[in-house]
Amino acid sequence: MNEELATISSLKKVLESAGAGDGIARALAREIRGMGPEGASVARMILMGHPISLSLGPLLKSRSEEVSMLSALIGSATKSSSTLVGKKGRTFAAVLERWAKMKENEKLEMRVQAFRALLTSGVLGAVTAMLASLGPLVASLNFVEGNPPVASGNLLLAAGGMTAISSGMLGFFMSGRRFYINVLVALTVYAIVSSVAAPLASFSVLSPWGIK
Amino acid sequence: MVRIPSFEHFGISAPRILGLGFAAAIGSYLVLAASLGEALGEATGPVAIVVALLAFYTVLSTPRRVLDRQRMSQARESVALSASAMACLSVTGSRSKTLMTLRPREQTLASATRQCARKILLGLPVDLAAAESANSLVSYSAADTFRVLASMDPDDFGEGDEESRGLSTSIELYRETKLPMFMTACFFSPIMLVLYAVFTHTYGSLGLLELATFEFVIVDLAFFFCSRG
Repeated sequence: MNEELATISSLKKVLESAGAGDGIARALAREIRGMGPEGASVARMILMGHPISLSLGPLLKSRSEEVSMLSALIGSATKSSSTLVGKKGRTFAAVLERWAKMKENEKLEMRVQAFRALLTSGVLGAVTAMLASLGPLVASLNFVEGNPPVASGNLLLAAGGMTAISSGMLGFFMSGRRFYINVLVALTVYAIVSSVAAPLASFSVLSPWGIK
Repeated sequence: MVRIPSFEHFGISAPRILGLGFAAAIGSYLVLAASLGEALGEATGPVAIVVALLAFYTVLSTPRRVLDRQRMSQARESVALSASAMACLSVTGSRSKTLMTLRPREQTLASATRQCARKILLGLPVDLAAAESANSLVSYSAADTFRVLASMDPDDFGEGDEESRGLSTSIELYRETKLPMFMTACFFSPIMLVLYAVFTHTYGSLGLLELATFEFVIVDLAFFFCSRG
């Protein structure tokens, strides 16, 4: 179980204990002690005698929105009745648990999408490298209008740049800050394919009109 | 006169945002036409017009996107608000006390609660104050929490996550639709532009730089349209 789900589950147990008439501070100290540094800090503050609303600070500032919301509800029990908050909060805790599970599933899906984006970047690198290397050769097969301009190394450079832009954006869309991995994959494949295709690209076509 | 809810919500005057949209469109047209140069030949004009139209749409749709984001965060927060209000109302039995005890974390919801508490302290009846605050909210679940609070029946509070569940499903569907679109744009735009460079024999540094700039504009626009919120 991931840390977020485990913390929500512990906070749910706190609500259940509170609903059964147990004290919130006691339930918190018992249930969330083992829940990472945040849980340990909350338990320590409670045992040192700090008020619940203050002790829940680390959980309220938690990166997980669900943990923070559930902690805010537990903190609000000091202003009303802990038994009632415990009873009514169970449904809410179940909703938050469902959200956390949905987020977890989404994370797994995003991992698959990021892998797809990596594959796409690799294929893009290969295709653009083929086009930039062999395209000028195909385009020069013009037997009517004389000699077309010869492609310079600029085309390979520009195609590489375009590949880097596209794969970078794709990586940023899928994996955020780790977009550089997509760029690296695309440019590596690009470099390999263009070096493999280079001998083919140096082949020159003779115009049939020139053969006597 | 056409009523646009997002403009009304933020109090934006339609002529002003239209003016801003036109300015952005003309600006992007001029910048793109200048940066593309002769790379696309006769197609430069139509392409710059399409980009200008997209810039116009982007400016005009910004309030709607901000509103959608607000709605999502309010809908999520309303679940906590509902649970907290339900417990507090059962204990205190007082609508005004409950409204003053609530401390939502979402900014707009917190501001609506503060306004409501202020009105109650100024002597406005609770149901009127709650109804006014509910009207200023975008999310119907958050507004419902205020209305139920005004009706004084804690049993009327539902789970409150129907709206956020619906919004999550719609975001999921958006993603399913837009992801392949973005992948297609990212995959085919460099291929098409390299082919264009090859078949028009655009091998000069300036021409290729202009094509790369154009590709950046296309992918950037695709990114903007495909990333939600």
